[in-house]
Amino acid sequence: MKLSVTIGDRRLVVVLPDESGPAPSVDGAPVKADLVEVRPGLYSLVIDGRSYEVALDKVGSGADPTAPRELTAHAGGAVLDLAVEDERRRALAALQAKRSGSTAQGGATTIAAPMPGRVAGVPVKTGDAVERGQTLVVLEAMKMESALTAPHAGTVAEVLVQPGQTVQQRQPLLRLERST
Amino acid sequence: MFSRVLVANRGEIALRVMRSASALGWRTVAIHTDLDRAALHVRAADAAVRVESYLNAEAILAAAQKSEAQAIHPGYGFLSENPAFARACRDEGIVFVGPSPEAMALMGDKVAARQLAASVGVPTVPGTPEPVTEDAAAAKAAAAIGYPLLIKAAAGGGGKGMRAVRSAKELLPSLAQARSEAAASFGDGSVYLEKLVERPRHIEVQLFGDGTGRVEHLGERECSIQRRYQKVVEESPAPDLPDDVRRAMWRAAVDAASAAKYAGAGTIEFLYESSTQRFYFLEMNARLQVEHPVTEQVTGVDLVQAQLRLASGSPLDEALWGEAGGPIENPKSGDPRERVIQNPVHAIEARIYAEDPFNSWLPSTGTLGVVRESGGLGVRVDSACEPGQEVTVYYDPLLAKLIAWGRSRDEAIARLRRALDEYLLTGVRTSLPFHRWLVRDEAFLKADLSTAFIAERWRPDEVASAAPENQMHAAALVAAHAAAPGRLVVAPRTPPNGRAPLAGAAPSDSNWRRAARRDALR
Repeated sequence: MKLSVTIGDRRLVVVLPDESGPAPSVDGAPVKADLVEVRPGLYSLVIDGRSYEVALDKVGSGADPTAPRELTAHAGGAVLDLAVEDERRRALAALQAKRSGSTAQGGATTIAAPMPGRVAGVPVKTGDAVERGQTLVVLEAMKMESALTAPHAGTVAEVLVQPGQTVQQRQPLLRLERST
Repeated sequence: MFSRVLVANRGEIALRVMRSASALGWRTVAIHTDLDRAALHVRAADAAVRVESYLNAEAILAAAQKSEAQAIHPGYGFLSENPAFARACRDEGIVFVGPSPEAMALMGDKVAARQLAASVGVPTVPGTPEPVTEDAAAAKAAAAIGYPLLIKAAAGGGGKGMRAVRSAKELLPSLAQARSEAAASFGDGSVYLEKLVERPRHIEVQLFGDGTGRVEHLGERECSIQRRYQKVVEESPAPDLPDDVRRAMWRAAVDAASAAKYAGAGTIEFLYESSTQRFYFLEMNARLQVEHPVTEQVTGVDLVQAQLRLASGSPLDEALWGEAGGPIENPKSGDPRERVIQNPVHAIEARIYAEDPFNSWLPSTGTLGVVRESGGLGVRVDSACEPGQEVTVYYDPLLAKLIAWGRSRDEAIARLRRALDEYLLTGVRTSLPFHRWLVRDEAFLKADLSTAFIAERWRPDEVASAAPENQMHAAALVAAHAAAPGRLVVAPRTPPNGRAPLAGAAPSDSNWRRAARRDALR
């Protein structure tokens, strides 16, 4: 089974072991991994004698089975936002999108309000190409203005709010598609 | 000596105060809101009373009466610097663990505090003693102060309502703007002028007084690593500070607190300008501060116990030093305001906030997953975090404080680095990745500090994309497994003699269970 794991702008293809399929690998490199779930969400991984600890937070409701699974991984002191999806499905969607002229890679990231507040501004519009770190929504909350930025490069798929609007915590504000 | 104290606070500080009170043999009373019913500080106390809010003075006093507490410790934040509350405690015959309402009110009034400091010869930041109302007077005052200067809203605070002016021609337009912004933000357009100390270091002195004018200092702390005027990392002693400046700060702090007849623990904050070696009084905090553990590790003094002892009538030396013996005369001078601790260590504190340092430090909410705090030699964690705990926007985002110490600054940093690497806290974004970067940053290691440090040096995008390759591969592998469980070969947790493991792996992972299932199918 081939899975596509996206971390920021990087995509790693992970091949999981299967009786019929190819040997397990990460990013093309074969791995012999010894993985144990210590307790839910906490893993001990030994690869070629090196010991790793990884903790996972699930992100998002997972309500849409076709959308990539969003997870946050804590590994070696780094906090990584990951999106996992079936590699074949992803490649197919990308191919179809390319044929129809769009640059979307499939699967949109939802930018949600981290806390209740008021939308002070939305400096982008649907269809805009944005870079990682670019400001998408400016939120006024707790007596200060905060810029919500793009976690990866992409195209603004949908703007769900307008300036002046009050929003709840976790309310979706904007959807950002990945670009090829 | 009292026997029962109510802790009018929550989270890590409530737990910390209760620990010291219990060690003295006192009973503790917790207060909690409905949101905090399941919080650790409630279970840590001997008694608990529900209140509407941690800011409701009447409810807290009623809780103290009901639980027969003789004293109230306010912690920090909430009502800790509220003179009306301190006065109400006094009126009700309950001991408020802190300074008198009068001293608290004096120190809380910024203008009055500066005047007090100036009256005992403590240098203050040059500025206008009162708000400036006329342009002509403002221009004259500005010329006397010199440029660059700050226009500050009199009703502002916490770093808000300040505007920098770099030259005389900017003054009047900036004044007009500042006045209208202040009126809009604070409902009061009054502004005053103050010298802008360039790239200052924030250095503060811990004090402890007995209310009669006698005050001891417990060394200084460097708190320059700040974002939006909020401290993120503190250490003691202040590194790379000339000894005569250090001693002069101690003397100045002692003199000012002494003049106010301050009782209990308090801190005087200074701005220090390295280029001129001058320091200026900023303000006094009439309460125990968040970063007090750093001073405790350096001096060996339990500041909360000292507060509790003093409040229940112990004389100053006994409250502070107990049987351990106090500081010794400074070999450089016989001045009692310059006494020093024997065998001091270097201590550093990293504040762990539920904030995302990669996204403008926005507060992060969620449910804590794994909580594994650091341990081992030279490490202290002040925390009340537990797995499953809800982190909301309703309370301060400070989750925990990680303190490390060593015989030298380098040793303290090395221990802090190790402690940060082993700290695991999931479920919310935290400042931990920032701290892990900081303890490897060249300027921090060289102690090249100023309050502009984070603004100048923290580059979130660069740090985010610098995660080690092998860790990314490990994370990708685990995430893939989590998304498609049962596909990756999982090492069986084979129990030694066929019994079920005590800390079970997930059912599908256990060889024992697989064998049992296989047998059942036969």
